[in-house]
Order: sequence, then C-alpha cells, then structure tokens
Amino acid sequence: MQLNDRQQTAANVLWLAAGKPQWRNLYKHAIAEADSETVDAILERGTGHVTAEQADAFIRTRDPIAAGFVAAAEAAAEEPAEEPAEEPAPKRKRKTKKE
Amino acid sequence: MTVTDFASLRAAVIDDAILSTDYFAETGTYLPKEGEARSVIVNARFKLDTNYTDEGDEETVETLQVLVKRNSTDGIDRPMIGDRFLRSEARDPSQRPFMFSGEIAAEIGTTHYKLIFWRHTETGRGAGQS
Repeated sequence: MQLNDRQQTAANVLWLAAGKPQWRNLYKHAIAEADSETVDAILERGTGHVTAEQADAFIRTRDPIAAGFVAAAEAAAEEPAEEPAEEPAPKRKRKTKKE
Repeated sequence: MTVTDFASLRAAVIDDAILSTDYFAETGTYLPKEGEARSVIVNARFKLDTNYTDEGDEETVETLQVLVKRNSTDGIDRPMIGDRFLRSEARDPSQRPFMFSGEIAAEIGTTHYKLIFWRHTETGRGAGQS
C-alpha cells in the first residue's frame, strides 16, 4: 500500500489515538480510501487532539462525518480570518477608604 | 504464463498453489459488515492463543490467519471491523464465525494480504470460576 507523506502521517495520527497496535495497517487502508479533505482535517488536529473515540468511529464506519473530522474542518473554515476584537475587560475600581 | 518479475512470480505461486483448493486452500463464507455473504477462497492457519487482560482475566482465543486475494469476487477487498468469516462445516463443525480482529498481519504486494480473524472460547475469572 503506497501512501503519500500526508496520508501516512494522518494514518499514524489515528493509529496512535486508537491505542490498538494491531490496527496499524487497517488505518492505512482507511486513509487510502479517504478524500484529501478528511486527511487535511486529521492533520489540522494532529497527534494528541484526535480522541480514541474518533479514531475508533472512523475505522468502524470509514465516515469522516461520523468521526467528527469533516464537520470540525468546515466549522473552522467558516470562522472569519481576523479574530474579533476582544472587549476590554472592565477595570476594577479600587476601593478607597473614606477618610 | 510468462513471469517477468518477482512480484508476478510470487502472485502466480500464491494463486496457483497456496490459494488453490486442489492443494492448500479452502472455501469459506465471508460475512461482511456491509453487504451480502459470499464465498471466498482462503489459506487459513488455525492457532490457539491465551490472552491475559488488564483485568486479570485469562482468555482463550482461537485465531485464524487468513491469506486471501484483494478483490471483491473470491477474495476480500475492504476488510472492516465487524466482518466475519465462517469456515466450511467439514472443517469447523461448530459453525461459529470468526470476527475480523482489525489486524492486517502482512501485505503481499498489492494482490494479497493476511488478515487475522479470531473468536473467544473461554474466559477464566479467578479461582473456581470459568
């Protein structure tokens, strides 16, 4: 099975998240089937940010939406590029002792 | 057949001998998680394993290492968790299917692979129980 670097990394991310050593090759097969959008979504999260439940759901269904990868990517794409200006925190008034 | 390279020679040997029902292979029933059951030709190696779980249980597991073609006719093209494999009644009178473990033990080029199926037979939990 020949995967490119991005696919191989995505397969490793899922494999590490799943915690099932024997599933390594199965994740390669699942990623080989997946589209580039799914691979991008997994790589955006990266190691440590994909949960075992998500990795498990993906290997059982091969469905990036069921695993929550694509929906998360779409939500990220909808966010405006510039972060909204934060409202200034209300200043605390220091209590002064009445003289 | 003219064999030109090692990969082709290997595939030819597997198909003509190892996966030939005249020699070492058997016909079983593949029960995919999605789709209908169908016959597949496999070379199966049976093994009895014992697993010790984190909870302290001792599990006896029957493992079947299945060499099979990667196709959707007489092989398996898309192994998934939840797939099952049933040996013929002559080889397995119990007729209990093996579950796909999720392990692809080896990939032989792009034409064949070895899948691990298993089934639990017994779990021992503490003294005096089984």
